[in-house]
Amino acid sequence: MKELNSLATDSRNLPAGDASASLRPSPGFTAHLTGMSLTDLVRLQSLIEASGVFLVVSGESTGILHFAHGQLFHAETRELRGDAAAIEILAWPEGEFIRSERAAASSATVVSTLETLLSSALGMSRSTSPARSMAATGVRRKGEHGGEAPAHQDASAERTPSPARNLRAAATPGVAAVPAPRRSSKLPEGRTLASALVSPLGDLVEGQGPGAEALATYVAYLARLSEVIGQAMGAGETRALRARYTDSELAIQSHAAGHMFGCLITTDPH
Amino acid sequence: MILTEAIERQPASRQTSSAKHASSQTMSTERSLHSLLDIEGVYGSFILAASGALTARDLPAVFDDHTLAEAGERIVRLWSVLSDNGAPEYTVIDFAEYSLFVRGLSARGDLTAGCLCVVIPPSVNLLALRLASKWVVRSIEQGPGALAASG
Repeated sequence: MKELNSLATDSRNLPAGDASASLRPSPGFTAHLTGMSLTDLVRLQSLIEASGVFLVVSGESTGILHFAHGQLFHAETRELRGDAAAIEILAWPEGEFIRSERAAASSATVVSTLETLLSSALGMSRSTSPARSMAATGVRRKGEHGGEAPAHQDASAERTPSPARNLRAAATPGVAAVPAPRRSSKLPEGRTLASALVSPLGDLVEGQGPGAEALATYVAYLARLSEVIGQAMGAGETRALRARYTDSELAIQSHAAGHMFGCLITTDPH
Repeated sequence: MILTEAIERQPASRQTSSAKHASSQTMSTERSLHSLLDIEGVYGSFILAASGALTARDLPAVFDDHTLAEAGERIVRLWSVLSDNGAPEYTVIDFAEYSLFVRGLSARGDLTAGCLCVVIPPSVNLLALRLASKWVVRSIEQGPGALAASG
């Protein structure tokens, strides 16, 4: 009873903004759950026939899932849309699942059923590190899991000399070789002529536009060739490839479990 | 006797002249490559012949010639595949450790004259690199006098 009184007092003492945020009328309970997989959270939305937009945050990656009456009809990441984005998001091993206030998408981009997407995502995430979980919350917080895995990851990183670090040190003598920031992996803007999500075996998983099948073969070969170049140069795995033509651009990006996504986009020649 | 000496010496002098020319060309190319380091972040660069053989380099010793020779053949093959329906202006491959910027050395961008490869961090200013690499390609095409003439 004393605790309840204290909670009530605390809530009255909240700053105006916080109080309005926490007391914003929302029917039902606000849940803060940890230890659930994203699969569980998404299935739950389907089960209760929920409608709304959910922001999924995993490390530096963010994605959005749009539901209407329990149906996942739109998914989006920085680079992808539709089924490819949904598979990418559903394969993320840990993070946060946050209800968003943004408006629902006006058109549907996801064509596969939730079960199909989940099984594709499961295949992608199998080869990643041990299953971790999502936190479902109404408030975005900084990573709670930050202190667990890194301990042994850092130790292994210490043991394995990084060629890039050596390279940076050699290229910039006298300057501390700090890890280079990653280039934005955003796809170039323009009209997509064709796109293809390719499995590690070179099969077309999902394609859009005419020539998606041919693009898949092309993407698979280029990805393999890049991988061999990376190995020869000690540069590590291939993350992306971009080839700029006069009026178009070919972009290939690596996805989880060896999948590759390629798209051909028309660009402004200037 | 004098004639014999002259005959023996002639090829040597020709060789010296040709070696000097090659050396001057290599130095000029290396100077061109070195200018790419003006772009913040660039680690270094190298040039591959159409066969994939390394012809010039301006890279830290972390990359030995054997590594570049091994990768060279594959890089030109990649460029050749990308050029199936016309050569691209450039291509960038992002690896886990660094990125590789590639552009053809001929005016049309095809492999007849080989290709220029620049080792870069992911944070490099790509627009600046595109412009600088274009200038480097042009100066290499024009030969040893180009750099001196351009100042």
